[in-house]
Amino acid sequence: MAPVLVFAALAAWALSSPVGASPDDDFHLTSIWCATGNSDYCAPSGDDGTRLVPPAVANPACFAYDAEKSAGCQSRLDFTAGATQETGRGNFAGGYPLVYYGTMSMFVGPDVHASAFVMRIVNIALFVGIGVVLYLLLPAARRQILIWQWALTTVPLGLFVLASNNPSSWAVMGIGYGWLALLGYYESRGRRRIGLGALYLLGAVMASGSRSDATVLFIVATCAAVMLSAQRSRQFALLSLLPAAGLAICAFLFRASRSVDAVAGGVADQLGLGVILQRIAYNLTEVPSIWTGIFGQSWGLGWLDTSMPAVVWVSCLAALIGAGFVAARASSVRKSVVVFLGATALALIPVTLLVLAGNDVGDNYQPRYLLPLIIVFVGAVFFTPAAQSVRLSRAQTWSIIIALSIAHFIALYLNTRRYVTGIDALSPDLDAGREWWWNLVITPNVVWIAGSLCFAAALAMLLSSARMTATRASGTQAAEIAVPQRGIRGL
Amino acid sequence: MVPGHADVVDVSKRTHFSRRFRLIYLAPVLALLALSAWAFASPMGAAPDDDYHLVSIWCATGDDAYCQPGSTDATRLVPQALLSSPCYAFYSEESAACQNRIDFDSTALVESKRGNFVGAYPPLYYSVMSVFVGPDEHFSVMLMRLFNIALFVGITSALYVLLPRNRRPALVWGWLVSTVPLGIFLLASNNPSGWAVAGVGSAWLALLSYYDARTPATRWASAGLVAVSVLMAAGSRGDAAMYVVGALGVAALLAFANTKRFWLLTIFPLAMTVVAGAFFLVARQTAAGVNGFSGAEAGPAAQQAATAADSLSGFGLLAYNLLNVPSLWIGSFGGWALGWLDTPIPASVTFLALAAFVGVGFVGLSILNSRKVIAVAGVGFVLWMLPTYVLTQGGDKVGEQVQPRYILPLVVLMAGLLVIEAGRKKFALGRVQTLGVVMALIAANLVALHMNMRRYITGNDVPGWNLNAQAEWFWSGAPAPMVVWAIGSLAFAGLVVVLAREMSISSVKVPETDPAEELKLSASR
Repeated sequence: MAPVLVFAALAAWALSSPVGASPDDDFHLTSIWCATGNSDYCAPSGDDGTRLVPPAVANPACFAYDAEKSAGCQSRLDFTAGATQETGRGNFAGGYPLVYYGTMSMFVGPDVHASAFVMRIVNIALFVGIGVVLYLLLPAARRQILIWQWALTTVPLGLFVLASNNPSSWAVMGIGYGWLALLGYYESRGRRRIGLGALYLLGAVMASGSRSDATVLFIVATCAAVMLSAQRSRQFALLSLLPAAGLAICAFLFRASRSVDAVAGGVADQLGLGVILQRIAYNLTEVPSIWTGIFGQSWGLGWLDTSMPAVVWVSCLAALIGAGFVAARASSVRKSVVVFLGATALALIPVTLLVLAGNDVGDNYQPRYLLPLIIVFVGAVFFTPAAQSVRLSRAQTWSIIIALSIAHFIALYLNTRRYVTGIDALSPDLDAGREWWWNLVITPNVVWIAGSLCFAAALAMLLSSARMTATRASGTQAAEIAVPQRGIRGL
Repeated sequence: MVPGHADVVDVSKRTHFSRRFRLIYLAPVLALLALSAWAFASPMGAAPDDDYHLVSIWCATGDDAYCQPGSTDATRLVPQALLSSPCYAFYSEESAACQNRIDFDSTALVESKRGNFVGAYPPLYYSVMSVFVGPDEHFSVMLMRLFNIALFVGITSALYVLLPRNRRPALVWGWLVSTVPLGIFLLASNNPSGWAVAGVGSAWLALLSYYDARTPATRWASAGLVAVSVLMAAGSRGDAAMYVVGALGVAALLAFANTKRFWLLTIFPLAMTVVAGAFFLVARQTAAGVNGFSGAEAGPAAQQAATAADSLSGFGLLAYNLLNVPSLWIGSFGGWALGWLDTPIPASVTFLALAAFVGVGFVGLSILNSRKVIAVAGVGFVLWMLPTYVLTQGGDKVGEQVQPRYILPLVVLMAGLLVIEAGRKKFALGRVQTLGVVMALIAANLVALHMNMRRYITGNDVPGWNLNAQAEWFWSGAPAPMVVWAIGSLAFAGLVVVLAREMSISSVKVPETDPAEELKLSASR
């Protein structure tokens, strides 16, 4: 039941935003259309740097950057027109890997609306499908990682990205699932191990096939899983051929996309060491704003133009910190090292890239780039060393469920509101005076309410079950564990 | 709590006390140092509306040399230096060196209506502070800050000693996780908000100690602390008078027992409620409930409102405020700028301080009984609805008029309340958890103190870690800025470490008195 509810909640997000709503969608849609190799969809223009594509693909985001402007402006676009408009925004020079665009191009049809929507549904189905398979294959003690890492990190940015046409959705899925599959792969046997290994490789292809920076993050995530499971044994060495293969896939796809210049493209002129140190210090003190950006603080959804009220990010952040803090109690030296290195990576990766490009936090480097690694980090925090367990009290679990449900309810409303009428009309009724909506029978209100209820129900089922499996998995040991933990002395 | 067992613990503690020195004795000294560093970190007039508050203090002396009647009832003749000391306010890049242009020696008085002349604020804070007024304004201002710090540390240390062991985590963690950076800035300032925070945050624990007391001496001492903290809260701000009554109510709820003894004991807090009510009625700031907190503080607030000219009304305004009030809570952790809302605090401080609060509070959520649930829900409701109501009533949006410092006393109360032990479970953090909170608080204070000093010493236009370089302003006679920063940060770090260590040691000792274990033991016998 839970997978259906998750699917429905994500589908509501897919419906809540128009074609072209996620960042740089003009670029990504054009790239997908051109990956078809069909001249009905993407015709050469005579110039190497441009192509001819349908106008709704070349410039769908007429509303971008102006939160008061609804997607009603799209009514001027012809969504069934042929490849008539010339655009230079697309993956023509090969800055992005091709796997994502190639796969998505299978769903391109004459109607841009229908094609874009089908692609979103495919992404959602992939997310839910891999999630279910992974849940079934993982050892019981690791299933709670799967649930917590996604539940705590995806409202609202994660849900928006997963249900979008943006390659970031694959980056998020590939890394978020891949590392956990690898962890399970080391810990299980037989067919399960084969299945998990396959999922890991799938994750590698999805991550490095969608964004080149995701390749780097995937390697970091792989390291986390390896470090958490490492043993000094021949068997471990043999098993580690798989992550080696995963890294090879990453390297291959990374090379294929020639994206080194995309990552370090903006390297500024040689600066003095003092200036660079100051930049590093400044960016280090501000870098948490990128982390909290995944909850919508000071970073909007969509083209960064759909800002979220404080209640959304405060609830989500509090849920994450609270649950993570309880989970941190189950600790071992190895876990502490991984979590520490993870936090360092979360701080240093954005800072390094920003400083190299001569930017400060707030420019260019967006929270969605870092989101996959945050998911892995949260997963690692919920990793339980042998014979320990993460146990939340009933009050704690339900506070999290309620906080996240409320945040989701408001985020979905605002995201829909922003495209239906623009953010200038704040009434609780999304149907009233709407300027844009899909050509569907169901209305925005229905989508909003149903999506929110499904999400809340899914959370209630999954989180309360994760709480219980944690108790059950530890079973008889639970009582024994509680006592020695009281005995912790000093710092 | 099994009666008798707690006594045993007390005795063993007392033998400890006489036998050897323990690190916890250093805590008050470290707290004094850490807070004093914050006192030196900002110039005269740095806290919001300090021109108003300083004038009010000077006029509370009743000395003609400092304050004379004005042409109308609403004005007075006051020293110009007081009015213009916040010359840097609202300009983050302007250092406090602009005070060099002010003539602090002049005895001439100018007419002003910026002061507590029409009774907008309760008079007590100003009267007490007026004791320290002298011919040297800077010296007087610093004396007042140091007095406020000593008062706070004194009350808190006394409470630590008086409170039973199982209440101490609420005192210690409650203050630590809710006061970096805004609380610590205010506690070491000339602003009556400092007293409001200290008073409300101490009153409820003092009252709990009063109910819990096992000896008459403890009870009398606790009653004294209740009285002092209620007077501090109610005597400083009208809204704090309201909060402190709520805080006393929370303590009474937690300690409630339907016995004659309880009701007799409750006569005293009821009397304190009447006192707070009297202050509340005297202060015309109570108009807050009707037309916003603006009152006498309209000066800077109005300026702010003008920039956010966005107009919302009706449902939109209510919804906007309801959904954005959490930003006021986060303001306590640096989500809002310090000082005259002109000292921006980096995201890392906010993140770390908030993480410490949420982490500790969330662990507290696993220790609940029905009374604690009611108390937490009640305080939470007020934290959310009061600002929403006041803002919407006044036609304002979150960001205007109501500042985080107005609701900070409730945030402090909430922190302690979340930690307080209820039922049989003990509040204890694990090793990694303790380490996490300790590191987060230390780092947050270190960065926040640096940012605060940087803003006044050179203004935010000068980058770099070295505060001594190109310094444009600092207290004369004080150690170099870098020394103050280092002492403040180290003292705070030491304080947090000592307290966290003490908390985890005592949480180990507590299971000895765990009734459940005792039952098991007797059953096995």
